Amino acid sequence: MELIDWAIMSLTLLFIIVYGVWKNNSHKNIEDYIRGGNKATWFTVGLSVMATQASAITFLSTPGQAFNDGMGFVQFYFGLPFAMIIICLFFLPVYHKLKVFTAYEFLEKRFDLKTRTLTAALFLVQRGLAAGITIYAPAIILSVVLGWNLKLLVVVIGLLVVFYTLIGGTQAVNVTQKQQMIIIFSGMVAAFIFIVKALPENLSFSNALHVAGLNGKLNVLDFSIDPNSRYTFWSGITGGLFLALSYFGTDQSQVQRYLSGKSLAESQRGLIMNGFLKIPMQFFILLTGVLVFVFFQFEKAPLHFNPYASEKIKTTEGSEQFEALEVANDIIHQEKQKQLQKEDFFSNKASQKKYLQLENQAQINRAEAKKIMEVNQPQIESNDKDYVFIYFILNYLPQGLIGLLLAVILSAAMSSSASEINALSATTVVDLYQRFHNTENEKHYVWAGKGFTLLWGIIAIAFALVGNLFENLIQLVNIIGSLFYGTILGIFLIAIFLKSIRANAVFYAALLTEIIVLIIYSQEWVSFLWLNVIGAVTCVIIAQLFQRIIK
Amino acid sequence: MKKELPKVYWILLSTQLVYWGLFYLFMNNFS
Repeated sequence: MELIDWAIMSLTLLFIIVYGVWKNNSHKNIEDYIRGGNKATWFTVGLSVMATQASAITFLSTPGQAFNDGMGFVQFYFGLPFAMIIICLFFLPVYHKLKVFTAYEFLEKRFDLKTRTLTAALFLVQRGLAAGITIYAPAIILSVVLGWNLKLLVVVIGLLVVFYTLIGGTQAVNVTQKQQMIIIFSGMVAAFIFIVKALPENLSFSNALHVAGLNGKLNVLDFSIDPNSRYTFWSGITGGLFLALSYFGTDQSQVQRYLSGKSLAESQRGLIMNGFLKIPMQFFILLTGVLVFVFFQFEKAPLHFNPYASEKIKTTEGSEQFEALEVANDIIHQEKQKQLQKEDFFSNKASQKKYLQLENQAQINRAEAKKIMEVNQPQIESNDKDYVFIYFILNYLPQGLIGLLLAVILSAAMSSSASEINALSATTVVDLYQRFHNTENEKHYVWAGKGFTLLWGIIAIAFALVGNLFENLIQLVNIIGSLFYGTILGIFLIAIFLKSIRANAVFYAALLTEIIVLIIYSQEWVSFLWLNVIGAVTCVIIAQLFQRIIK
Repeated sequence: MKKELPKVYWILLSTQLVYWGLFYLFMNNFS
């Protein structure tokens, strides 16, 4: 990384933070601090909602996902636009009418205090853990590939986020997210253009896609009903719908974004904007990953994309085997070129078949290399999916663009964790602190909000510092989410759609559902993606039964 | 609460059909 990259990265991040704080540092009351004084236009709401969901892992992991498994992951978002419509029609009008600060506040008005407190507590546990991972996940990857100190990086990212979130509250989060999204979009577009340009000159864009297609990377749609395929059209519009409903409809880190809208209509438009843009955005990020795959068909790819893991393995007993595989893949690469460079490659079936056999062998070797790593250095993550895109960025992008792309990744990390810390603080103040500590002094709650922002920031940083105790982070965030999300969604669905069900029935149904979900998870009966659907449906059914018994 | 779907929701819904159709064409064209 050169000086110019450092300069671009630091100046971009610094400008965003200083601007965010400078514009928003006076808060008369808690409404200003938590709902940003209800000044946000639909465009700000939309960008803020998108920036909150797009974490650094979205940009590091998703291209790697496409590199390995193709573009089928986009189907996971197919339920999202439907969820946006349901939230706009049924959730948002209720929140707006009751003028709530948090989603959980609505539950006390609809049910009782204990249901509100339970739901807020579930959110705090789940989001409190996730906030640490949001910082840790990109930090570990960047520290490995750039040789930065992991703990220092975690603390720096964490403190920067706490700094502007604490001083500026929701409005600073919204304003910074707008800038961050601009950086993210322009960085990704620039990277995309560069990758296309970096492909061999005699390879047209259409032929590049044919290479990807030959390798099965462009299988966007999968209509199979095989329960073992994780991302299918059907799981997308069912599981994906429930997940999006939970996340956007009941998770305060998202709810707080659109509650800051100027009016009901502005908030709705913001969510609809997300409904329009999310799928093309994910498609575009996945396509970037697929093009990186095509790029490495013509350029020699490393056997393993995590440079640290590859270096370490050479100091273990697995060294010889690993190096032999490296040599084998180099030879395969040369052989592949002979086929790919043939003038009639795209019409020559025999040539294509030969190429695919070679590529298949290269993949087998890569899988074998991972096994060698698992045996010889079990403490290091052998999955290199998260390292593919950053490897490409650092080794092939021109100076300057590397700095911009690192700013993209750090911006994404900061925008997500700012929303999380901001929402954790709001929920703690409104649903717990304010509920049990009454004062007329509005300023007092603003200070409490700042205090809890600091506290949650410190908890997130502390958790991120011990993040190396957990493997496979993106999975972990999703699992934590799925364990609680279903129950929380169930409570909200009952609150909004089943008016006859009362407080006690829903409260005990929620507790029982949570126990059932935890049992199902511990017994590994279904993939964690389905826990969310199971939780929501179970909660609704049990609450119905309880309500009948109570009658 | 508005029960009728305003125009924009219908546009969003039909856009999904367009997306799926485009993905289908994209996938079949290059594989």
